[in-house]
Amino acid sequence: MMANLVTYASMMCDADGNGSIPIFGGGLCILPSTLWLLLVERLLRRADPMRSGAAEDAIRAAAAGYCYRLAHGVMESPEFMEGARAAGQEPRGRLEAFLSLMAAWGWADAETAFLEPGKKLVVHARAYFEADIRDTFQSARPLAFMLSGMCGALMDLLFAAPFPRGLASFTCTQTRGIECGDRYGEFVVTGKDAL
Amino acid sequence: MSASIPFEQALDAGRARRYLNADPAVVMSRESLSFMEEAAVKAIGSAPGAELLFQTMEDVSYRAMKWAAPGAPLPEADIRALMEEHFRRSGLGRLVIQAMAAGGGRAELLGGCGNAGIPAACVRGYLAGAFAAAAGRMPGSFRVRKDTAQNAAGDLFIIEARG
Repeated sequence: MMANLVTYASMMCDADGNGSIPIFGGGLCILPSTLWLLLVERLLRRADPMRSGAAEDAIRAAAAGYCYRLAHGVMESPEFMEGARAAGQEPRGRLEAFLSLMAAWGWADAETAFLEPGKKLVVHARAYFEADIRDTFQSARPLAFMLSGMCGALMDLLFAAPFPRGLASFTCTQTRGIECGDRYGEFVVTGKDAL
Repeated sequence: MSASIPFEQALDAGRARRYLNADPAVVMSRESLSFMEEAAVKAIGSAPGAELLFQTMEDVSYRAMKWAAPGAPLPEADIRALMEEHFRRSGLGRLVIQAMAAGGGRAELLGGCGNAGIPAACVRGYLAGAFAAAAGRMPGSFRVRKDTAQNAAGDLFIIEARG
């Protein structure tokens, strides 16, 4: 039944005459991954070296908010609800369904490595578009801001207060990154109380 | 292994693998462009952040157009159709190139940036890069400003060659 999500996801290329892609909550668009990667690289190069951590935090916070709103719209869409039905309405099923959608959308080949409902999530990504930043920018720190934001957002939506109050109830730390030499990306999400 | 579907199968079925310039394509939402502007502004400040987003969009648009229309110049009508179709298929809205010449042109985003949920800097960057590629010039060769006009169905953008 996950194929239904893929089928729907395959339809997202079809913009209507007004340049709208109305499925999965509407307002979708198709962008080159280089747009985000180039922007991140340039922001980090432009930022004051003494405040590079602050620049990363700013990017991370913006990404988290965006991913929270995007994931909410997608999960509330009839396309997602129908496609995820076979996976079950339990949080784990919805989580797996969303990860398969992210694969179809070019974000990441990721899987749930660990889930303690309401407490902790660990996602492993064998491939993700944000790792491609390593082609032009060397970093000792992980830089997958979008995927980090999305992992945190999924926990916010599945286990925290209803939208929009649940934003930032969980926080995601990327502990491994292909972009900084690891074999895979690792994203660890915990509740704020656990920090 | 993922409990859902193989990654390659998902990408093939997604049919969004390649953007015009063969870069990997990513499905996001139009709001992503506003979020990118927010990230840029918070990271390096308002004016430099908006300018950086404009330049980045310009470079990406330039690459896309160069890939789509390499080599010999295309007829103007074909270039305009390519720009408009490229923009539409991206899901960003409907852009109409009203005028086009080596020295610049005029374009309209029907419905306006606000309705589309796209920062003006992104539309400006798209036009600057696309016009540069069409004119056989480099990114940075055109300035783009948003203009208002009576009876406009959306936001008008004036493209002017620099130097």
